[in-house]
Amino acid sequence: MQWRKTLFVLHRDVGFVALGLTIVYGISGIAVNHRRDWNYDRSVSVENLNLGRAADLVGNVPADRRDAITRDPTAWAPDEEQRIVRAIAAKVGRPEGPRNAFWRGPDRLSLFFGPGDDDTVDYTPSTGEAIHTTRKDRILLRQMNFLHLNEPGRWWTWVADLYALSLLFLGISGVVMVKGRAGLRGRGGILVAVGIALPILGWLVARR
Amino acid sequence: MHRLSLAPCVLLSLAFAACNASGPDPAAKPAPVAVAAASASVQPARPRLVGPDHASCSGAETCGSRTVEPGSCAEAANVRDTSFTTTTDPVTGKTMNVAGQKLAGLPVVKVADLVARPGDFAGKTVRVEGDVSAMCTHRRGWFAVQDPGSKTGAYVRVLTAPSFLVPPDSIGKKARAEGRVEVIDVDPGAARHYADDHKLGEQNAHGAPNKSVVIRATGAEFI
Repeated sequence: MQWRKTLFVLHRDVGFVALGLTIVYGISGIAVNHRRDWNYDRSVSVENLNLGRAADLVGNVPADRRDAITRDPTAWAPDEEQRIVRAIAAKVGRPEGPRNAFWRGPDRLSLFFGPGDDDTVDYTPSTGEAIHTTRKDRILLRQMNFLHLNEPGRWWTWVADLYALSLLFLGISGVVMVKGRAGLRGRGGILVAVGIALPILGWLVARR
Repeated sequence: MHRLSLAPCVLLSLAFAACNASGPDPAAKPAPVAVAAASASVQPARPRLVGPDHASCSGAETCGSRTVEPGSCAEAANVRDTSFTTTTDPVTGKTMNVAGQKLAGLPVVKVADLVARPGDFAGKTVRVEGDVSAMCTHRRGWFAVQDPGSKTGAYVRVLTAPSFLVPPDSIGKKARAEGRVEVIDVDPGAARHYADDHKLGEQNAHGAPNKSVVIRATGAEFI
């Protein structure tokens, strides 16, 4: 019949157009699906360092001050803290110094170098140890997630809606354009039923 | 052929029969979101709480008599204002990101005071200023602020969703925010998430629901 031929042509052409977005949404979908297991947007690199005690980082100070600095970080004078921060920055290869540094806990001095938390150092004065954490966007995956999670908003919402409608069209047209034993009245019908039953059963099982 | 065509109907019938047999489940179908559009400048939209911890909720901020955790990242899915503007901070001259409503210039309340005496501030609208020590990077629905120069690590979480989103890369910046103080229960699952993933509240994260003081912000500036 003529309408089947037209549907086939439409199905084929829409399928061609939808391929790019299907790749984006499919790959990002798998990545986001496992969000409990990993950071789907960013790769994280953690380096454990021993930078030495604060008294060794502060530079030239009297012996009694060195003892006080070692014993109690709250006793650090502001200029001493600045010197320690500069020393930490130099030791991790960031001689230009951090854009901000503050205490995220009584024994946790945090230094922020890059934008956000892209490049941070958490220094523990009591042990002299530090954790240098760097984060980077995952190549391609970050961009795919950006689109998949509709971070652009606005006009991209329409693109995503059109893509969703095209998937509906592809699904429905694919079902009705095949006739005979492979079609809806035969094997295709069974497969469609399985496909519809799957989400229903999933919902029934998952809600318990 | 005819027998085969009945297969889909049989399967569907079985599925719907099973659905009906189990009876209605009020927890399975949350109520629709009620958006208070008329007084949008003051009253934030009621969020649709999702996720396993809110399965029995009906879309409100309470589960029976218990106040649930309203600052979950999932709440950010219903944010009304996802934009922010970049300008120059008149105080410091540095670049500043502004999100939500313009700040009214309220007197600053110290985070240490909020944490020590939350009952004194509950329900009041306050302003906090300090360093951003953590934020929800995925949904950008909240950030944690601590007093500048504080060495205790004491923080208050500022809930920005559903009013607005925290601009990206706000961790480590200075922030000013205004909003209503609330004392909420943080369920153990959420507390564990904050402790493990955001390094917040390690000292009391694992156990029974914790009382936590939060600020439901109307606007914030990040410098």
